[in-house]
Amino acid sequence: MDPLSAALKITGLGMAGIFVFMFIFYLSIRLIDRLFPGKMQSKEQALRA
Amino acid sequence: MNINDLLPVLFNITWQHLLMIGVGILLIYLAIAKEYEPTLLLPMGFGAILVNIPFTSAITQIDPQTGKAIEGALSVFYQAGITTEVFPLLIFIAIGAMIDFAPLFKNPFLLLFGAAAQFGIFFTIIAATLMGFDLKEAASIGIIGAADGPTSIFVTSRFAPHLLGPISVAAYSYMALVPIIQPPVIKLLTSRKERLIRMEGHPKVVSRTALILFPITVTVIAGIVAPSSIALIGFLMFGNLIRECGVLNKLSQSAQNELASLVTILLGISIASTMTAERFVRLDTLMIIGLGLVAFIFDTFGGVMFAKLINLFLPQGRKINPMLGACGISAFPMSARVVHNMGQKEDQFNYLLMHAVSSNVGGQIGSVVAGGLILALIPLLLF
Repeated sequence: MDPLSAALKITGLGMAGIFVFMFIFYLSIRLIDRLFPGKMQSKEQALRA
Repeated sequence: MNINDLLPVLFNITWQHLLMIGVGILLIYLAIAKEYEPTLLLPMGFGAILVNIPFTSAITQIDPQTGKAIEGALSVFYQAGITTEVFPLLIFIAIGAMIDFAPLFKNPFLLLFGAAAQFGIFFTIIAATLMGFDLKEAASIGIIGAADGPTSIFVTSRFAPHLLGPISVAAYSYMALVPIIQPPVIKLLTSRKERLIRMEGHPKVVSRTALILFPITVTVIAGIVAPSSIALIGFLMFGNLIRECGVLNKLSQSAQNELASLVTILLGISIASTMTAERFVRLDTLMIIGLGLVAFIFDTFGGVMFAKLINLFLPQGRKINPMLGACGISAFPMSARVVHNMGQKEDQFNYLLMHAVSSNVGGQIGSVVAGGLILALIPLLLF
């Protein structure tokens, strides 16, 4: 495979791969957050934070 | 005995050596006077002076009389820490201990900007290939766009160790120049109306269990999907677990301070051992510096354009400020601060900081994932 074709292939696979990874991480954040929810802050606490 | 024998350095110094000593002084100036990544540029600058004095004992030299190699300290550091990839990995533990993933739990969707803003890496790989670099070199140059020094060093030391000097200088210099590089690109790509978009806050507390589980989950997922990325992502997440577990505060502080400082000194000065005139004074170096800038510009482009694309599908009132896409790079917290300041310039009551930080933290994960993917993909395509 010539270098340009390989670079284009890496670009396609790489960008798709990053999005897949990040989407899986996004889903895992949602799942973890649902299983172990944090408390909602009151307005005062939020302001202090 | 003549003067040539007494002062051999004076008679063997070339313009290339003098130029590199000048580069070393310039890096020290930028580190001290401009405060551009001083923790790394200063050791690199001083190291560049050390290795460009003819017959320096700082790097390994061949004794002309015996033909035997006389080990130099910087070469030993390089072999021990860069060739083995130990120094960048130790830095990842320190960085992991510094990252707070809580903002991501408040705006998990912004994690995707951390993917889009890695576009510059891949665009630059194509550009570097067109300019005649081979695929491994092009990948190492492209990774400058990760805006993440240790990832750049890790990937380059694996694929193109001969380019480590210029790539490290470019990566760290452009990270320091984010406040200069990003604003004009963002302005060019967005309208004032878009920059005025306000974002709602999320007054939410993230549970400790969630923060402990996140680094473990990420490591396991990364290990299953791309095992070759596990060292990069795993060490980052290990550092983060030390931070979040709550029972290793002393270790967490040590990782963030002592470990980070010590390894940064060793990393900077070890990289400098590659900054010899023979390796650095070449046309390639200028091309790498130029391509590094291209990588940062197209990272910003990728992030902003992705946000604009998402906005096409969102109803009025729920649109995302597209400037947040630009924070999907790893330069933390500089990029978040730049975007927040730009938002405030347009509307002083527009507080983008929390969202910008979320996107920026996403960029820190995205850059490491990009590095891991490149490590996995290049060997697959070459063999």
